[in-house]
Amino acid sequence: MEDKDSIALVQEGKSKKNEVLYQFVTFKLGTEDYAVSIEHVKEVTITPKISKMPKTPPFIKGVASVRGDLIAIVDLEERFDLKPALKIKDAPIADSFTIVIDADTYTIGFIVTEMPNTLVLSESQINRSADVIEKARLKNKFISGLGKTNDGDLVILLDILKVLSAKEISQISSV
Amino acid sequence: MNDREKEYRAIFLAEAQQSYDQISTDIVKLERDPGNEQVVAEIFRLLHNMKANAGTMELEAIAELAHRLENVFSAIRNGDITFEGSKVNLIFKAVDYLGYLINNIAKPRVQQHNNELLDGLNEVISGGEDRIEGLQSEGGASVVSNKLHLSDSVSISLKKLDDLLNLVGELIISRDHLISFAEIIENQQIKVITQSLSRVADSIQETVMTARLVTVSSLFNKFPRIIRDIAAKEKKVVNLVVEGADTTIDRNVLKVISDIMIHLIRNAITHGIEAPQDRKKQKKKEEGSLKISASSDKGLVFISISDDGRGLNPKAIKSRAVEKKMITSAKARSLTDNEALGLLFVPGFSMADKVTEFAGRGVGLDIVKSVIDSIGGDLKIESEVGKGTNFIMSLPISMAVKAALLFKVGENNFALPLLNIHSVVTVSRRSIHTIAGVLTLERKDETIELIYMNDFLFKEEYQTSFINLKREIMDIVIVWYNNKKYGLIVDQLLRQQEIMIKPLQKPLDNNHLFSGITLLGSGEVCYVLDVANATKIYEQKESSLQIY
Repeated sequence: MEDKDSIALVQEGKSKKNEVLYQFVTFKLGTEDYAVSIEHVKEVTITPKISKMPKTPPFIKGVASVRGDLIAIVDLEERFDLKPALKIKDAPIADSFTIVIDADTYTIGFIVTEMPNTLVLSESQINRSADVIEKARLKNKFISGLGKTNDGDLVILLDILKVLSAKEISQISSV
Repeated sequence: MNDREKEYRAIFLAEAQQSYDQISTDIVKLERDPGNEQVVAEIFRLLHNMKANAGTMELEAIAELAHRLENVFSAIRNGDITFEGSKVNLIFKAVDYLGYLINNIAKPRVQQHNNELLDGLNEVISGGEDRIEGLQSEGGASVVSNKLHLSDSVSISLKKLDDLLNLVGELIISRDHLISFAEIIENQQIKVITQSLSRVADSIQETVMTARLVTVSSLFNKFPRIIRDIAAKEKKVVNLVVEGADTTIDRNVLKVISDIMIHLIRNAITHGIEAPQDRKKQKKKEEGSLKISASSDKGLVFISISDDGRGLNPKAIKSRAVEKKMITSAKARSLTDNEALGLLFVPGFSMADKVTEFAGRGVGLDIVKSVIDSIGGDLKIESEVGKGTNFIMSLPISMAVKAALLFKVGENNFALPLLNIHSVVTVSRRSIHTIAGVLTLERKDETIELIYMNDFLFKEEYQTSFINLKREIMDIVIVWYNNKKYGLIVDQLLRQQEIMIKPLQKPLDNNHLFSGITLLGSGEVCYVLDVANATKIYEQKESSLQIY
């Protein structure tokens, strides 16, 4: 952790109050901006050809080969029920991006429609205790906080390991 | 000395040198800390193993010396004597001599008992300090040369070999990529280069695979003793015949099957082979015969365990299954004898009426079967009432690389290990019938249940109807499971190929329909079907439709 932070410090210069800085990768799901800690992101790539695996829930798009690794590709918009109401058909997968996440013991990718960005937030820009988060925590434990960018935009910080380790993922994927 | 003996000797030597080094280190440790029980126990264990191994290799001098030393350390362990004083020097000397014998294993002239040392070690136990002192002074020239001996072989952890095999798998995939590429661009030079790369990749793969192979004898050698014990307990007379003990198999496969082989052997002796007096009445030899044989063919290893005992009675199995409400009596009548034997693999089915220490505790053939399934193998039973039973395991030579048949269902590629395939047939629509909602194939004198893969894999609810089968000619892959045949209707047969199976990662690892995935040379993903689970899932769906 210290290393990551110090790298972030070097890249961004020290923040005014000498605060800890965090680096994120941001992406859009539905209408909101989400962010995951950069240390879990292995790479961002144009979505490769995906082969649908039979007998898996719809949000698991299938399996694709990323640099010889065969990984599961998941659609988080579908997983979180965030598909915009007007969008009837999926955007062609070929035009989307895949964020490859290194989750300790395995690798997984998720599809995002817009090009992901990076973002640096200082501790004071992160709200970890807002009411909404508390509420959200009760329902699903994978929101770790809300971030406010320098432009005043709001991003939802995801605890990506919790999103993926959620028992239900494995439960629904069983035949 | 034949090749096998040479191999054994090399293995013994490598192990003995390692043990000797360890013992040398340990006794030095013990000298500083004489009360260390752990070290004493360690030395004792090493000596004990060395004694046993040297005994089987007929290296009497080593075995005897290790035996006497073992006695000494046993006495130390029991607290009868302590590791101190003049004894220490003698023990050091004896261990040195042991090393001398081991390092000169190939020279029969050297393999002599050193009676002075042997007697001295006896004295150590009986506590004759004075005589030991005497021995010390006359003790001949030191046998330890100053030249250090380093072993010619290195031991390598299985993990490293596994990693290496995985890397080889990657190499094979890249090679296949390159081959497809070379075919597309039709460049002669690239073709030549790919061919030579291919050859190298193949031989690397083979070398790594053979490095993991061990002879089944390393397991089979343990059976005579086990069989003797079980037979004695059951008051039966059993003659063991072993065939093909030099067949080689992946060490991991052997490890997986070791427990289930013992289970099958126990079953054969406890339930198969009759008591001597019963055998006499049936005009059989009083001595029952148990034959364990291994052979290999086309990347598969077959191990069979057969006895000449009372055999399995299909009728009894059927009525038991009906009694346990596993099947209806109508269904029982429709089962062939072979299919009835397959009921033994259904969880919870146990034929044993008597619980003994060795078998009949409900850990039945279903466990055996599922263990074999887990490594992609198969188990078949042949049995004749009064004549005996034969269990035949077909096992993959290696766990990771398998010969498989590739086919397409819809847009997707699938692979089926050849191990599970009985045959492949092409039939016309006329020979396929729907009987009570079940698709069947009439063939020669048998009726085979069919699974239409496109519906089975991609429809929410599997309910095949004829309407979906539009083609006039259909390719069907016939697989065996639980002594029953199933025909899988596939959309397009591709080819046969060696594939490197990668296990499913999260969040897909709960999908039991597939045992893994592999990447084809074309860069396409291919799913490896798990026949055991696929047929189980199919049967569950079937049974939920029927009323029992």
